[in-house]
Amino acid sequence: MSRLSKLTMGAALVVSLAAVTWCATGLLAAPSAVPDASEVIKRMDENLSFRSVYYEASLETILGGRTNTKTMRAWVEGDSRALVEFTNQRDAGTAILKIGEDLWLFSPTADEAVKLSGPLLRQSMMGSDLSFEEALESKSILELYDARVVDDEVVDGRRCYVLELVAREGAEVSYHRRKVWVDCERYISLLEESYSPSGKLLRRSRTEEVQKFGQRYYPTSVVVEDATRKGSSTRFVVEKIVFDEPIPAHTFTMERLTGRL
Amino acid sequence: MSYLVKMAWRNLGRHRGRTMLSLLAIVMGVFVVVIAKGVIDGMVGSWLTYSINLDSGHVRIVQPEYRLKERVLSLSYPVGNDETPADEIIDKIRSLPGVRVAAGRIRFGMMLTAQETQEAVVGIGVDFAQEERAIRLSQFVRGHSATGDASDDAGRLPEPGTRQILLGRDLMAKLGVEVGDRVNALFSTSFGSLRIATFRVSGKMASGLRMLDESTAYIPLDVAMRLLDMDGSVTEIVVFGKSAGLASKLQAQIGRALRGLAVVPWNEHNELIGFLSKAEAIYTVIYVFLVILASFVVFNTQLMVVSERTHEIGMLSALGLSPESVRRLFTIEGAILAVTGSAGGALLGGVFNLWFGRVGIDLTGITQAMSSEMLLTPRLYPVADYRVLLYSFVLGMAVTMTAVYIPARAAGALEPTEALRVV
Repeated sequence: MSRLSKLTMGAALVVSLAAVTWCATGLLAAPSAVPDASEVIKRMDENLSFRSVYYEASLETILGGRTNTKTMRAWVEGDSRALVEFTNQRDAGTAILKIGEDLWLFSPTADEAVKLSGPLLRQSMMGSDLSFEEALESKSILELYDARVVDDEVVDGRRCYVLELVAREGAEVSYHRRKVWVDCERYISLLEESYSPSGKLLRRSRTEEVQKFGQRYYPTSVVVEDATRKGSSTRFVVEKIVFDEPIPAHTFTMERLTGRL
Repeated sequence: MSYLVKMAWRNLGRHRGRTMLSLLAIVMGVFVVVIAKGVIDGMVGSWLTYSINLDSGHVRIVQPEYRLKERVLSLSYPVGNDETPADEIIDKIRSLPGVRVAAGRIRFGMMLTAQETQEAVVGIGVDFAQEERAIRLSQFVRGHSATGDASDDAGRLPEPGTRQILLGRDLMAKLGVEVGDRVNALFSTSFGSLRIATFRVSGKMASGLRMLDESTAYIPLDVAMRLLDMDGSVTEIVVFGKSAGLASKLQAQIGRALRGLAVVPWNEHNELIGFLSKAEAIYTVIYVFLVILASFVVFNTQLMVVSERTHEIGMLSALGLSPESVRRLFTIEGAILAVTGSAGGALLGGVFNLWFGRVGIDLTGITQAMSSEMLLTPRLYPVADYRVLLYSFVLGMAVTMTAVYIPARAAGALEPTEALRVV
C-alpha cells in the first residue's frame, strides 16, 4: 500500500513507520475552482510532515467477530528512523525498529532481534490490515501514480476533492487505482478506496477524527477495512501526539530495541 | 475320474513347448499381480499410515469452520476456550471406551531464521508424551528412519515447558544448524501479533518423508499455547482407537459426547486419502486385467489343442467317453496349468516381494519430484504378506479356469461322427 493509504491511516507505524513516507508525498494547494492534484497532495503533506514525532496510540483489530486491542508508543524521526514499542500486556516488550530501508523486530521471547525481509514484510503488521511492506514504502505517491482531481463531494458533512490515482506504467504498487476524498479546507484525507486492476474494491479507509495541532491538522482516528475479508477492520487511534520535539539519540538503536539499554 | 487326470497329465506332456508357453504366461501374469499388489499395498499402506499418524489420527476433532481455513493454518478457530479448556475436552475423550490416545495439536505457520537464512515451515505444537504412544516421533530421531539411515547425534524430542524444537535433517541443512544450535522463529499469534522466539534444536528427524524432513518443526504443546496466546486451546485433537477400521464407530461415539465440533475420520481427512481408501476396486480391476492378458495365451492354446485333437475326441467319444467326460478332460488340463502356473507365479512374486520388502525399492527420483504433502518415503517396501500371495493365486486360478472353460465346452460339444471325419 502506498502513501495515500498511509495518509488515511493517519499516523505513524501504521503509524510511525509510515508517517515519514507520507510527509514526502506532498500534494497541492486548493484553488477555488478545480485544483491541481499535485497541489492538493502537497497541502496534505504539509499537515503530515514533521521533523520528529512521539505518539501513544491504540490499534484495535476486528476479525471474525473477535476484537483485539494493542497499545503502543512510537518515536519517528525524519523519513528513515522509527521505533514502535507495544505496551499492551500480551505484546509488552515487542518492538519494531526502522532504520532506512531495514526493519527489525524484537520480542522478549527471543534472544535477539530479527531483520524482516522478503515474505516476512508481507505479513500483517501486528494483526492490522496493513503489512510491514506497506509501512516501509517510501516513494512519493506522485512517482507511483498519475493523479487528478475528478470531482468534489461531501463526506461526513465536509466538502472534499475527489482524487483519482492510477498506477504509472511499470510502477510497483499494491493497488492499481485509488480514490481519495480530501477535505477541501483542512487537506486531510477523509476517505480512501483502493481497487484492483479489474475494478474490485480491495480496501477502504475512513478518517473518523481530525485534530488541530498548532497550524497543522492531523488525523487521530482512522478505520481501515479489508474489503476482501468480511468483518475485518483496523482502527488506529492516537491518544497523545507531540510533534518536533527532540528525540534522544539512543532511541533508534538495537540496544533500545532489545531492551538492553 | 482319476483316469481323466492321468490322461490330462499325459496330454500336457505331448506338446511340452506349448504347455510350457501356457504355463509361463500364467506364471508371469500372477507374478506381475503379486508384485503390483505388493507394491501398491505397500505404497498405499505406508501413505495411509503416515497420513493417519502425522495428520488425521483415526479421528480428528476440529471446529467446523477450521476445515475451510486449514490450508492457511488459521488460529482463529480453536478447540477449547477459557470456559472449557482443551485439556478438559481431551480428558473427556480419553474416558470413552475404545480410545487409546487423545492428544491436542496446534498447527501454525512460522518462519525459521538462522545465519541469514529463512525457511517457511509448518510448526506443530504437540504433547510428545501422548504422541509417543501413537505415532512415535522418536523413531525418526533415534536413527531408525524409514530410509534406513542411521542418525548420529540426532538428539532427542523436545521437553515440555522448554523452548526446544525438533527439526528435519534437510531443514537443518538449509538453515545450517545442528542439534544444540539456536534458531529464531517468527510467527503470528492468535491475536495477529508477529512474535519472535528463540529455540534450541533438541533433535534431528530423518524420516525420509519430505514433509517432515524439509518443512515441519515440532515444539512442546504447552510452549506453543503460551507463545501463540492460545492458553487452553488447540487447533485440533487427534484420537487413536484400537484400529483404523474402527474409526467410524469412534467417530459416532465422540460425536455423541462432543457437540458443536467436527469429528472427522481418517478416510475423510482429504480427498486424496478418501480416494485411496476407496480405490481397492480400481486396483482389483487392474489385477484382473493383467491376468486376463496372460490367460489369452492359455485360451488360444487350448482352442488350438481342441482343434488339433478333434479326431481324437471323436475316437474317444466313439469308444464310450461321454461328452461330459471330454469336457472334464480339457478342464482338468486347464486346471493343472492354472494351479501350477498360479502357484509358480505367486511363489516367484512372493520371493520378489520378500526381498524388496526388506531392502526396499528406491523411489528417490519420484518422491523428489512430488509435492512434499505426498507422504511417500524414498524407499518403497512392497508388502510380502501371505494374503497377497493367496489373493493372486486365487485370482490366477479363477481367470485361467474361466479362460479354459470355453475350449473345454467346445470339446465336449463335438459330435463323435463329425469329429471322426476330421483329419
